[in-house]
Amino acid sequence: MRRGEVVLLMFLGCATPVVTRPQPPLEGTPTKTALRQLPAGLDVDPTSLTPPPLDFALKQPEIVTLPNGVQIYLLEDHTTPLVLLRALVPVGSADDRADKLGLASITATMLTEGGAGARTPEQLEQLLEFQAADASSGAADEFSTVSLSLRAADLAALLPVFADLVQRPRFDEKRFEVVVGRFLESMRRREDRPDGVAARALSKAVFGPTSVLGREPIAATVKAITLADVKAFYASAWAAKGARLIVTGDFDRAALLKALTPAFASWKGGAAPTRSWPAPSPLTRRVIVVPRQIAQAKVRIGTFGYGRGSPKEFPLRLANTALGTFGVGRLYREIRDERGLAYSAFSSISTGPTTGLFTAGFDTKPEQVGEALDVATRILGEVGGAAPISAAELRIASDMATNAFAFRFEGVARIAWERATFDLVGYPSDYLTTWRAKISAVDPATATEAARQLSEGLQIIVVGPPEKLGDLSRFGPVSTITDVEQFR
Amino acid sequence: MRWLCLAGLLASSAYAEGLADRVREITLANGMVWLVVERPEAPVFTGFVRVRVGGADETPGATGLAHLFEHMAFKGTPALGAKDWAAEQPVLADVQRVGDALASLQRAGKAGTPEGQALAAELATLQKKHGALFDENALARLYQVNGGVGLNATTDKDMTSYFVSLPRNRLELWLTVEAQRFAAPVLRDFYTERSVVQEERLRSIETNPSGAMYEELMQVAFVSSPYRWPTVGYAGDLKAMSMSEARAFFDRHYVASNAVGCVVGDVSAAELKPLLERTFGLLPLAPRPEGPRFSEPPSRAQRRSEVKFDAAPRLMIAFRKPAPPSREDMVFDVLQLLLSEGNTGRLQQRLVFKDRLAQGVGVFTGPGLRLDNLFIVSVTPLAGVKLEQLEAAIWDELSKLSSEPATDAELQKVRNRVSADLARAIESNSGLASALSRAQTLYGDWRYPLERPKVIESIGAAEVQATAKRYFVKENSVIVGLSR
Repeated sequence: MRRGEVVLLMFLGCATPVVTRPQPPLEGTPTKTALRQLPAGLDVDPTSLTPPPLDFALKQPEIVTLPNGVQIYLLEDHTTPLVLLRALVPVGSADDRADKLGLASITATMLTEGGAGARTPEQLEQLLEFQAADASSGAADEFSTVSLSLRAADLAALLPVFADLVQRPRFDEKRFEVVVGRFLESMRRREDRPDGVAARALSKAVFGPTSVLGREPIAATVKAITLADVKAFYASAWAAKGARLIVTGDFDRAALLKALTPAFASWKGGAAPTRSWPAPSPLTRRVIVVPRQIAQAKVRIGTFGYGRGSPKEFPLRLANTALGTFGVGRLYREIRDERGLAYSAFSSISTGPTTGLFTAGFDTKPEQVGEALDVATRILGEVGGAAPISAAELRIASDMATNAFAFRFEGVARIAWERATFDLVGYPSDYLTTWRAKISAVDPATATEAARQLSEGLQIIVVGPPEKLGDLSRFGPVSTITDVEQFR
Repeated sequence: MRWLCLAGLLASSAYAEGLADRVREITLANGMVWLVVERPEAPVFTGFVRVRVGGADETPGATGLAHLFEHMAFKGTPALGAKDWAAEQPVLADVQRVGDALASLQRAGKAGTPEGQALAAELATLQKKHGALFDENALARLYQVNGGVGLNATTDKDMTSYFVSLPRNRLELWLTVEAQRFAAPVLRDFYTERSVVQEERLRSIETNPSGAMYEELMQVAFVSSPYRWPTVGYAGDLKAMSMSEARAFFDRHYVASNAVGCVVGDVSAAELKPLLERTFGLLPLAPRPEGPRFSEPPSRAQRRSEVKFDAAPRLMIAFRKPAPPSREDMVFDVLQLLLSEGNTGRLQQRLVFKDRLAQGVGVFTGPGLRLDNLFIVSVTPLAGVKLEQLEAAIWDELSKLSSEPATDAELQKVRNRVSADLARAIESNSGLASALSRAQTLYGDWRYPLERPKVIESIGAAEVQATAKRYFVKENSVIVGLSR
């Protein structure tokens, strides 16, 4: 057939009119919403259908320790014929040198992309992708990971490859250039998303732009990273002592341990990184405008969250729910529901080694930023005193937390991962078993007292067109940062 | 090596067949189909209710209606959220009367007239009066205090979906609330929610380079198909949307026979059946609405557009193609994986690793799955690379697919990937519930995703080549670039 005919046929195919699918005929009378009252049997008060909290056993992984210190977390589930292998080491971006930010991240990427064992990057990728196995890696502040998701039937064949990824990376030089090039491009593109710009500016404003928690890689620090740096970082970070292997899914325990133990027995070395986490500097309230010509401004308001192990964890978690949760939080209800100023108004709170981040935020038309900020700052200002958290609000927040607790135990991958990362950063072993009791023990006065810090030293970031934002000086001294990368 | 991968494939397809045996199907007298899969591993379940109505069921001038209605379905029912239902009804009727009058002035561009201003003031007063009579977050709060996780709803071009995961002892609660809001949603705070959706549009399209580019691509690619407009709607239509339109839309499309329910988790069909009789089973039998009516004209030339946006450059090249569940659509799935799977896909190899032109490549299908749609190649170039250079390299790779057959190894890689990704997609309760209910809603057959690996297995190199040759031609292409 000549090409012209093919094209003609294609057009005939595309031009078939009226693309509706056949549907089975159903008889009945059209209904009208105005007439739609609840059918008699359905006219019940659903709030009366609330059963007591669910009681269930907490599933936990088995932990096996090898002589070299590697800890293996095992949790089987034979529902789906998949296995997930993960390695976790206690070294991450927090351990990057200030002039080489991005090193932990690029090292992690090179483990899955730079070739391993006897295989070049191309051979490794061909092997894994042919078997539909997914390798991925990454670095967080305090740890780095490599993971391999595979079909259960491929476990015996691919376990040695996983061992190669972790213990015998090749760090191919050409691939290193590609990895760095893509990393630089992703940094260039992070300016394209104004919400990302707002989040980065907030983190820098709260933690300090050069602090371990606030800093970020920039082009200069990434370009300064050499392949020798990557190899040296790997040698110090990816070692047996302190490392954890997490195996979840459809495997047989005995067979797995028989294969895994020799594969990692010769892995050596390892020492916990020495980190100093300086106490966060006190914050002074301020407004930072990041000029962008966009039709909707992004507003993020932040201050400190809580340090790991702090007694404030549980009261602050509940206070955060009362402030910013979808459908129930004060910010959501007034900014979104009552005033229709934003698609969403939310808050979140996190932890960290010395402190974490509290964020409240919304996106709104530039002209509405002042009005929405009046509301948000008033709500944050009042929650610790003038408008304390009520018993009803606390009850809602507490019920949400305790009833949703079951979902922390949905999926073996999640259960084992949570346990391993908790162990890595030093949570007490009864953290999860006492969690619900600690939530239930918080009273309104404690939650209100803890919430007081959520109005202290607010850092208000506004990304948007400055000429349309109006006067924001009533929220604090206003400064402008054009380029978040240059915010130091 | 080969025996190993075949073993994997056999295990996966046996798994899919075993899973199909565990799906229980319940059809209610009103035509609504329910699917149940018992998974007792964790004491929770995920529930989905999907309605076969989306952006494609709207008409020009009323774009965004399906999505706006989805927002309204969170505002409660006569039994949930009302503080005084008897007192609320007449006020709600007044809000509708005044709001609709204002909306028609807005449609005519006369909202700023004295008449429009008077109506706006009256509406604000009424809304305030109405606001005191209900609690609009009663539904969300009820789910959340009961441990609801992932409570949300989505609207796309084809369907509207409502879903949440709950502890297993909340099944009756979930079915009651869902059946109530399906039977009698109260359109509370409609005009506030309309503003919220306008903000959502600003967020997802006006300030998002991918959103702006995607909207442009559809506008250029389609002339008459309802896939032409964005699900979130056009700003002008949203501004003038009336409550009566939303009600009429609901009456037409939210009928039991046009919906599908699905529960996956620590719940049995035996437990579900009597609860369904007492909830969704009470909904009336009503005619199922027709699908969209239109006739997309043939394309005679390549179509191009250039979006100006303050962001780093991007490029999309798209081709018109038939909708699933056609076999040709499955061939496009093979083409997609050949081109862009992992780091070994042909486009990745060429653009990212060999020529070093791009940071990343994505290949996907959009904007929906119910009507003829697009096969889209989306590329982010590295700094300094010209879009023309990228385009030429992409065309070169596409033409190789037309001129020479894919290798056996490549096709086997695709088959392995499809079966493994099916397992990954349905590993969680929510993933399985989503996949089964989506297929039942779109194609009337929940088996579709489970049987897909077998169909893909039957697609050979000649068929792939013929499809590439037929569709990857200039006249069938649509190209959109984005630059500053």
